[in-house]
Amino acid sequence: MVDQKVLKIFHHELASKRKSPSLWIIFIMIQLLLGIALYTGWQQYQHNLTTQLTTQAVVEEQWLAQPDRHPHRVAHFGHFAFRPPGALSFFDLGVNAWVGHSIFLEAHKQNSANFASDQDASSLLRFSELSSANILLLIWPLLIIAMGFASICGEQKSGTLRQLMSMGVSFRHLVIGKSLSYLLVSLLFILPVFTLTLILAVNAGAAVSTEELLRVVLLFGVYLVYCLFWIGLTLLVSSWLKEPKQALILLTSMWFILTILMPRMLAEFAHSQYPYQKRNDFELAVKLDNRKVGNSHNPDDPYFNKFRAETLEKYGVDSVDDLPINYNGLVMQEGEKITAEIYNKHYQKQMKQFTAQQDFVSTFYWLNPYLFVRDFSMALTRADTRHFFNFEEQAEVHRYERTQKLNKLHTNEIHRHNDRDQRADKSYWQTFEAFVYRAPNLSWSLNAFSFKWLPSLAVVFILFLLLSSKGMQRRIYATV
Amino acid sequence: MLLFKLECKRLFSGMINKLVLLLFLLSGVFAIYQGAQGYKSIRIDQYKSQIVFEKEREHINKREELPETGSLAYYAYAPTEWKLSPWAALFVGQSQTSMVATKIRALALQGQIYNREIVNPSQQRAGGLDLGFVIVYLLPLVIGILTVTLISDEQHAGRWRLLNALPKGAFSLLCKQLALRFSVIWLLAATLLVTAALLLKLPFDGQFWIVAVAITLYMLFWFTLAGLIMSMGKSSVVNSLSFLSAWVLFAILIPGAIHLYLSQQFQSDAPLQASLQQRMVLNDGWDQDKQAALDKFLTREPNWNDTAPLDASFSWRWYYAQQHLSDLAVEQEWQTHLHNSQLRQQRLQSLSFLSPCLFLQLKLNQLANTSSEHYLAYLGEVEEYHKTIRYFFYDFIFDDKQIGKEEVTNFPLFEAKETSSAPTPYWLLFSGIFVLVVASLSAFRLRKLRPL
Repeated sequence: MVDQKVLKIFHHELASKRKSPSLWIIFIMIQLLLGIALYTGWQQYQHNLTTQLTTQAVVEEQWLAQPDRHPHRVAHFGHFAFRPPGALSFFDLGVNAWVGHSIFLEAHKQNSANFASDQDASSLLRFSELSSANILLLIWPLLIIAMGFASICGEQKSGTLRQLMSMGVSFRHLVIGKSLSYLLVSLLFILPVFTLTLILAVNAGAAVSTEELLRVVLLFGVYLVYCLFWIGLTLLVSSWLKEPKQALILLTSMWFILTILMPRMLAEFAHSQYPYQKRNDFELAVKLDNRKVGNSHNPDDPYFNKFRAETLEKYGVDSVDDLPINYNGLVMQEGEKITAEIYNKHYQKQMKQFTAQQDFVSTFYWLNPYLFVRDFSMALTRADTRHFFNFEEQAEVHRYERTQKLNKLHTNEIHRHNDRDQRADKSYWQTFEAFVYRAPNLSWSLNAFSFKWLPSLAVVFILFLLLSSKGMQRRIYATV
Repeated sequence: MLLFKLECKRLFSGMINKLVLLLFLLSGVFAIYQGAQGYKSIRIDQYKSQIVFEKEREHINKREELPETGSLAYYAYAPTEWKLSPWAALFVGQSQTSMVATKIRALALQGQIYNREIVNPSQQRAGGLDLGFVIVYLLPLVIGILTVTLISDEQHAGRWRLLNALPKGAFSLLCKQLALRFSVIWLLAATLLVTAALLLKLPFDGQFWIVAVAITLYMLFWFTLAGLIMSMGKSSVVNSLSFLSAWVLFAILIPGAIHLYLSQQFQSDAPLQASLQQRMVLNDGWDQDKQAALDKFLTREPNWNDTAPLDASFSWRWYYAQQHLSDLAVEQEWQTHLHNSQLRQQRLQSLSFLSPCLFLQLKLNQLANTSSEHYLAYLGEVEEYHKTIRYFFYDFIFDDKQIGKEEVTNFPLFEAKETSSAPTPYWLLFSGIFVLVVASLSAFRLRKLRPL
């Protein structure tokens, strides 16, 4: 496939690009931009990491330093869960700007993550952050277009194509040679930023494992395929149209539609197709459901009357005062169980809508590989929506366990008589485990994709298949 | 007339020209529809919050005996409302990601003010598509595709030399061509705007004309930029690439760089630190001298100085005093945070001169009351209202009076401040002057342009 002629074309194309000063300038400027983006991303990552880790340590200390206290007061004292940024999130910031990084964990109440950094997002982040990933996703395709839009129709127009053909260079040679040269340029272009990413990831120290390295390699691979997609598309349009100017306009229009217009339209459309509840509605629904089940403070509440009867029967006593344990604590446990169940039911309903939105968008991966690469890259750097909600779920599990452990202390260590005035010994606080966010592993990160990468890869394949098809060759040969 | 027909034919002959105009129109319609839906959901949220509050109040008042004032205040969530202009449907700004109907009660403000709207982060990451986006970011590209190759096409077709030989010259013809394109695009944009206005029942008042003039000036800017690029006398391809680079610079790179700079400069964990500190103050209070806490509170709120000393049992008086003390403990952090946000806004304002896209985007959001400043102002109103609620309950709690049904009925409701009439839009004047300068430069250069 790759013979002398292809190599000649390859060298020639490279040489001609090397001679273009404007390409050099843009190339260098965007390299600089990538460098700046990576550097600021790294700084932000470091800052966030230190903030999250130190504050997590502070709240753990605050927890351990508590004096003797009533367990229920401790439950209201609560705890914080912090989400350290993903180890590669300096490369792709993903949705980090729009999600909070800390959750207050308290009894009876599930809070959402707060303190997102999306100030001014409505005017400044309309194209998302200037992260390395975003530059590769948005800007680099434009450069591929600028390099290659005239590569076939330009030759055709200037008559050089005819000369080449007469020298026995086939259209296929031309396409392969040019593709290879653009691929090499792309490789040279993305290599520095990935090398730096790798170096930074290794320098990050503890977080680095072979898995992180594998993630970087996969990222590199997926962006290279993304480059191939744009190279294929550029060459295809350039072969199909006669006029370089038209090819350029068509390609930039396609770029605009694929990377800017379509993702927005799909996201907005998905939102109206699979709406989720706004905060007030969501909280109201949870509250109303809670009211339906029962109020533990109400002595005539049917649910808790039944619960009391069952408890008395279980212990074989006639009155809650005769129970060997504290009935108030039992009620707390039962109440927490119910509210958590209700909350989870509603939360899962919301999750279902979010997932449905994402699934809707992902059905267009075959049409628009940009969407796939964007999502895949965010998943690899643990900066997508799914990873964020995973943090919320981990925090909720932790909150539930912590609260129930306190309720058990309440049940077993506090007497029902004069309940409020008693305290549990401070040594108990030492037995609680700290909240540690467990970053999902690679297979979890990617399991939402299963075979969804296939359509996008197929598109790239088909582009090149079309380029080397008989029909395209005939079209070219007919007009030479 | 013949010339006009001919030019129209030329404009609508190319497949790509037609497609681009169609795409612009479709995105506009889509954006208006989505915006209207979003705005409706905001209004429903705000309206519903009031209904829920009314229901709760009815529910309370139906009881034979009202609960203790302290307990009643504990559960009394009162609705507030971020007063948006109906233009928020078109220029969404922060209205979809922030709470537009925060509920507030007499407990510590710090625990309530940072609440966020539930959003799908992926959707936010995609960037959103409101009419503001279509106008600010899509419109320039439409202008570019239709105009930037005008001269080079003539040159290419070999007509440019011929046209220059005509007595009126190529310049007047070029002006006519540009005027035609301007009118077509302007009419499309105006159609979108008027459709939106009719659909959303926007009044055709000063606001409307400001938006219309701003968009016209913005279009003029991109037309003159196209003129400047054409005046370089380069090929179609170079012209197109230059125009596209300018767009990328103004639309993506400059705002992105400003965001990097602002997040670097105004990086602050103040809200988080305030929350952490406030939680400690609140909790330690339970183990400390309660009378001392109450006294401290009374020095700050002397109106209720006559309240009796505490006894050993739990007292709502101490509870609410303690809640407010915890707010006071982080008052400085909170003020720093507000101040910081304001500084950030100001810096953004002054930096927005670097990019017309960013500038117009900010102005449109401000017109629709959906900008960050308006949100901060809303938070200020919430804080003010929080004080009203506190004082309302303090009168009962600290004077040890039981709240009655009549008082519950007369509970003070949140009233959004009437948005002060927008300041005279001098910025339009300045933008106009700026566009005029660029336009004359561009005209001057185009006039000098002679066939090679």
